[in-house]
Amino acid sequence: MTAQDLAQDNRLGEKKWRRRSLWALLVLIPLTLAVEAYDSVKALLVDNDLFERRVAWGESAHFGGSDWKLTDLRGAFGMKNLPPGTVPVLADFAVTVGNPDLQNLWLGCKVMLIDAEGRRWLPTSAVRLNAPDNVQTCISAIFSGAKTGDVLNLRETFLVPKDVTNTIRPAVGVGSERPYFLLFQMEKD
Amino acid sequence: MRRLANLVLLLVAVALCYGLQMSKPHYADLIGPIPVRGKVGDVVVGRSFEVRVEKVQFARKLRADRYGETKVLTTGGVWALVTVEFAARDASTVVSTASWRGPTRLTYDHTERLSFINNGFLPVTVDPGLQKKARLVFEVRPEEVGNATVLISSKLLAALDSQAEISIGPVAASSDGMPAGTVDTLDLTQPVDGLPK
Amino acid sequence: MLADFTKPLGLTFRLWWRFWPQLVAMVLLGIVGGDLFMQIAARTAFVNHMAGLALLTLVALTQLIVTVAMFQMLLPALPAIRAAQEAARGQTSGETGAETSSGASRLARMVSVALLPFFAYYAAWGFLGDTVRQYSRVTLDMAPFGEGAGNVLDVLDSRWLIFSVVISWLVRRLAQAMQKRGGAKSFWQIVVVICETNWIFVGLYVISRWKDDIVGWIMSRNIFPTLQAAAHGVANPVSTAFADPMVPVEVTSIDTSTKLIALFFFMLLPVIWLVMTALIYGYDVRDDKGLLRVHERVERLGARYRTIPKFMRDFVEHFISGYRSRYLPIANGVRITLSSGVVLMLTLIVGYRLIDWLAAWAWLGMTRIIGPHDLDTWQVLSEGVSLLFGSAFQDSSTGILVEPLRICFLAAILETAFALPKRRAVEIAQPAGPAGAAQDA
Repeated sequence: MTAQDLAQDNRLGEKKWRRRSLWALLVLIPLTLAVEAYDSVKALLVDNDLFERRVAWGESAHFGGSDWKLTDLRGAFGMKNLPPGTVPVLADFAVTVGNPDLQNLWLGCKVMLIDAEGRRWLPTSAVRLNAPDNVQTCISAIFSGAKTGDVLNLRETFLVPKDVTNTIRPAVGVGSERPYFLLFQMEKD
Repeated sequence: MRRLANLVLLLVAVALCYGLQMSKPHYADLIGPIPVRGKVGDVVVGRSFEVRVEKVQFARKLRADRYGETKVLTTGGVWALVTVEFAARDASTVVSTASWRGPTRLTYDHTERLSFINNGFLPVTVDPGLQKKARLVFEVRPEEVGNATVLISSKLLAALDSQAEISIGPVAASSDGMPAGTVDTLDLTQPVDGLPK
Repeated sequence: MLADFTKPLGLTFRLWWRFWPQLVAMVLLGIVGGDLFMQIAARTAFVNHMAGLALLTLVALTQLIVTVAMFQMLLPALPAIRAAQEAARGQTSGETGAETSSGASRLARMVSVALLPFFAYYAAWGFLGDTVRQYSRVTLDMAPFGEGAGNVLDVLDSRWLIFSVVISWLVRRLAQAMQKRGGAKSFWQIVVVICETNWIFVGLYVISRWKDDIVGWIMSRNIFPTLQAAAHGVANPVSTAFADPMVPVEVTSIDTSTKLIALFFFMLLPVIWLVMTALIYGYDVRDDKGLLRVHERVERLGARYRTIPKFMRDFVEHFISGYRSRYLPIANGVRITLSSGVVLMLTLIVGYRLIDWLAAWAWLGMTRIIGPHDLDTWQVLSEGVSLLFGSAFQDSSTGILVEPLRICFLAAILETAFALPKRRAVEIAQPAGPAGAAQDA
């Protein structure tokens, strides 16, 4: 084999490897991205309420080990001392406790209102309304020591602009179920 | 001659490298906040909240209520009081940090001397569609007042989140070195949004 | 003169254009492999901190193998370097004449010859610190509050370290014996390399830490407070130069000498990398007579200690040779510098740093293009950006757009240096090549 043949041979081998590498990139790039981003994607999913599970009006849904039911959603119109154009909204839930390990299952419990555009409101501390003694919030319920079969009455208070009161829907997310969250439908839906 | 040329080249290369070393962004820059710039009166739209600076006032003293008793806060510099209006964009959020960056890039954090007041000051909870007024209070040196920038972000170390950077513009200085229009005492006992508590 | 400047740049892009698919694939393999070993090491660290640290060796080794392989890929397009290799091989034909360029034997040669000196370098220049930092980051991520794992680096200060070195030494002896007996030679060769890597890895890293402690202790005595800053710079110049990502306000007014030292090492690193490139291409630095004389004097000193047990001697020699391979090539780098022209060297330094700088700005540019998101989302997006431009930590992790360009640039500079007429003449007169380094492996 002359030197020229050898050079030609190498050249052909290189071409072959170049082609192989190009094909390998098609696999390697997604693979690398998947391997590198795995932990971050996992964190993204377990930390955020991303995918909704719709619950029809009047029905209850099993979520975070318990059965959740929306009992009421109403505006408290006519209150004074509030910024113009705003209205407090009360969301009431009846939750039948299944698995009593609420401190783990309900960790990071978040109740919110979501409007038609997907905007989200969290409970407010600006409005204080009197409530019966047996009404708790999601967070206080975690430490209530509720047992299996107990029914918890949860109430969260929100402050929203008047123009969204028709489209808002209550939603619930808990740590053990993320990225899924419950989106409760209203009677008219 | 050749040696001289080499020496000149070496010096040029050293200067170039010094420039590269100094201007290369480091980790803190790469993951730092992303600025959204504006000026007084503009609605500056960030990722999680929007903010508009209504007015900037300067004072030698502040008067505030502390558990029913009136307290007067003095300062060795000057109080800068920025009245802002916030609104959340997609979701309820909390705006918790602000700082005042002077013309020489000296940066003053939001004062903590007013932390006993829990309404109308940072941290402010803001909701979508609901405007909310608040006061940002900084204790700064008088010469750091003109051409300053107010930086507002939702949290400290807002990595790769937006940070509103609102330029205050020039402020004339009066004869005693204080910014023009500095009042003796500003009253913080009245709520910023005009609503009774 | 202008050609010295334009030729390597043109060659860089020609190399990159011709080999980019292979190079990018290699970088990706390195990232996946390194990540895999890092995960294994971190998980092992939960069981046993010592074993975790030992496995960490493989991470550094992966990175080195990838770098070496990338340089080897470019070889067909580097006629001047190949000519020098041929010339060297001609002179030492007795040892390496039988060598054919089949894949397996080339890899074995690569591992046994180029890797070890290269690795000693890597350790001595503080790149190991980067790997160790990544490691403690990963273990921290796995147990955010330190539960279970505790500080995985505590073993670096414990006497179990000696135990680990003893095990490595025993395994190495075994592998060497097996190698002599024949059969699966390259496998045992790799075992030897891994054991030695483990020594150097653990040993050099620990020495650098102890050195800091000793310096710290002396400084705390307040003997020469005025000399403190200067001595710190001298004792610790490399780490001071590299470990400056966070710049607090006080540092903006650091004194000129610190600045100058930092700038010096900033400009020296490209030269170090050129020497590493030369090492990989088998241009052996130990054949330099003048420099060897100094080294021989050191060795004669060592000869007096021949009476001490072989185990200790092996251990000590390892670190001596580690330092030898650190400082001899630097001196040699200076020699290459002088003989290949100021313009070429300055092109190297500025060009290398420019690639670095552009990568950092590209990272920043990407953050502005992508825009603000919440932290969880950005955590995911940053993995993509890091894949392109390297980690935001700016340690030795690499991006697929940056690393191939860097490798091509270094190879192009070396090729240009070898192609210079005066260099040619020296080269033919000088025995060089992989055979010389083999004795160290």
